[in-house]
Amino acid sequence: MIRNSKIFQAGGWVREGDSLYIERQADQKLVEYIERGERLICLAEPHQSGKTSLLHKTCDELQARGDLLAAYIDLQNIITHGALEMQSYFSIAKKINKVFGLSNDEIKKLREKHEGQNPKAFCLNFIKSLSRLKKKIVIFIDELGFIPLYDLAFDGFFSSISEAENVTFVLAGVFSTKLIGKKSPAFFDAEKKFLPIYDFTRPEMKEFDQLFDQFPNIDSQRVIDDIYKWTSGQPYMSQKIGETITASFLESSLPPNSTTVNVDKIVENLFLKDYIYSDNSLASANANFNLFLEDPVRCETALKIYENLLNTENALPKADLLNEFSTDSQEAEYILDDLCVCGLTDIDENSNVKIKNKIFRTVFNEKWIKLQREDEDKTAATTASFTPNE
Amino acid sequence: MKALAGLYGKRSLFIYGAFGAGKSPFVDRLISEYVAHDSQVLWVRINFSDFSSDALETIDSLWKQIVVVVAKQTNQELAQVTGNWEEYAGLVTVQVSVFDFFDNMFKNLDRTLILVLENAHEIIDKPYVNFFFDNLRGLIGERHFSDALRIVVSMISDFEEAQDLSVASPFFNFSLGIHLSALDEIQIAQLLESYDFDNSEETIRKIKELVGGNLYLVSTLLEHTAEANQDIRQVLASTDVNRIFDSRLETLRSLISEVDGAERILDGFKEKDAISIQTSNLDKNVYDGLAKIGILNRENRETEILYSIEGNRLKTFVGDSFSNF
Repeated sequence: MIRNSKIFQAGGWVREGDSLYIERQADQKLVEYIERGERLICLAEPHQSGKTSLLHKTCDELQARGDLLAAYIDLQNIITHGALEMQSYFSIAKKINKVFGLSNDEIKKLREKHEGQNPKAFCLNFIKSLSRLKKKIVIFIDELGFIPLYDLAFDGFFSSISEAENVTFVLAGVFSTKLIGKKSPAFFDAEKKFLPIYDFTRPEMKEFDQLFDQFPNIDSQRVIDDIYKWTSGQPYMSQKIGETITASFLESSLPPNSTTVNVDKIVENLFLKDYIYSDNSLASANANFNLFLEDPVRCETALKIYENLLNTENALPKADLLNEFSTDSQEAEYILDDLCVCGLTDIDENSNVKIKNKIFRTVFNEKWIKLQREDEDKTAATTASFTPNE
Repeated sequence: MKALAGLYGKRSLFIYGAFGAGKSPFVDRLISEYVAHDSQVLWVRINFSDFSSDALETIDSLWKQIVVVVAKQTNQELAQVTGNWEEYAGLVTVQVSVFDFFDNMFKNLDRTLILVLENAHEIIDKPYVNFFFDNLRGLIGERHFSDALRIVVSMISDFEEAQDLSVASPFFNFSLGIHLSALDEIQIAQLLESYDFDNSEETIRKIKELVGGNLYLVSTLLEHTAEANQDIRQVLASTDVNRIFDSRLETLRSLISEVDGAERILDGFKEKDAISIQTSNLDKNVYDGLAKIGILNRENRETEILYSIEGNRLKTFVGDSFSNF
């Protein structure tokens, strides 16, 4: 089902009424988890997978119902360089108050009470105080990946989550459970439900039809097949290709009655010609790999897992893939999760693991693995230098 | 056109290129063309080069400075703005104060605001630079005023550095990257035509050989020729042609000297006529630094040295293609 069908949008979250939004299994599952009372729901997914669009849409729908209160918080609008733990909690509290139309007097008093001593107590008491609203509350917190990047301790927040009887937290972002847990052990301990957001299925991508309809001579099914062949339904990449196709017709660089859409060439231009620097989605996958798997031992395990996947066209059962690392299977599982959150791999509903799609397979190839294994200054091997002729 | 289309489509922009690529004139033209389309839009142009070192010192001081300028140019009551800011200073993070400022402003401002942040490379070495770009992304993604706010950032940078600028949530996800690269033959021909100069292949070839397509230097050459009321072919044939660029060359040398290790490498060019490019262990920082200045042009996996410092001579060399993988 689609919400609207005006244009393709590659990049940024989809606002209702503006662009193509395709509902997926996660849309229904999220509401289901909230309604059955899950306290902490986590969406740890790569960039441009549709997390923010899903959060906004669900928040709007819940607010419209009237029987509960919902607030959306973007940590990118709260946390900044040098932020202190108490500042961060107070800022979040102030934001929540603003959304719910509450006065800031209470939180100011709370802060004075715990000034300089106990950010955790401030956080706990604020979350508990939300019970006075006498309604179920859902708080969506986006961009959780900021927490380890800013080297923030959020332990007080995670340990407070279970204390609020009537509050469900939905946390989303490009985050590594391991990295967050490093400074906030309470995150490991918190009882949480992870909700995967799967890429578009081929049937779901049929919705692209209506945007290609305006070009009657295009064989839209074939074009969508070609897009899917490269993207396996990754939302951003699929939309980017769709956007490029429609733009090329609208800008008249192709004749209006043309049937020629060379998806392979479009993919080459958009995603392959400059390898990881062709597109931000690839550059950020690479950057996140380096961030999440900075530790050399973890990095090597990740590369071995990835290499095994690269050596086969098929998906591999997760248990088989991790069998080699049975001495520390929990750690291997965290590493595999990190690979998925970076965007390099995917795990399906049957716990089969594969490389994200053909674009990723082409860019993050054997040479990329080799570079990762080499010295930290990897570009030394790939950068030209200038020496005078002898 | 891509930039204008982006703004009309409610996208923010990231304009980047080497030194002298023409970012400021590009922004000038962007504003004038957009205003012709929509005179109701409000443009606030902020140049980071005008900020004091104190203002650039921390992310807090930078944002406060930006907010003050925006408040003044949007005719807001400055005392109220700073009062609101001070009420929660230290209690909340600066990003919350920034958000509240824009939120309050847009409640009263019934216009679109395009905020232009020029010479943003002034903060490139600051520890908070990545977070600043993430904060920008947060602002333009904010649903309450995302329809009313667009941000245009321009800076000396190249593509790889631009990609690295956002840490957690890439600025490019929301903004459209506009890379101002060296002029190609067609663009040089168009410029020559605008001056009513000879635009033969030979003239274009000589210009490319001399200044490698750098807009700054091409403009210097053409303006000088126009002011001297001379024929461009005569100017190019003159043995004194290099003198036209003397002051620009000094600026260039000063920029190069700020790239650690660059002088040592370029020293090697002094006595030579040609340079061969080999894959070896050039320090990435030097390479990146030279690319940003415009000494190198790194596109489509080819590296072209645009010019070398050899006394006062400028020469262009084209290197072998190289591949990352």
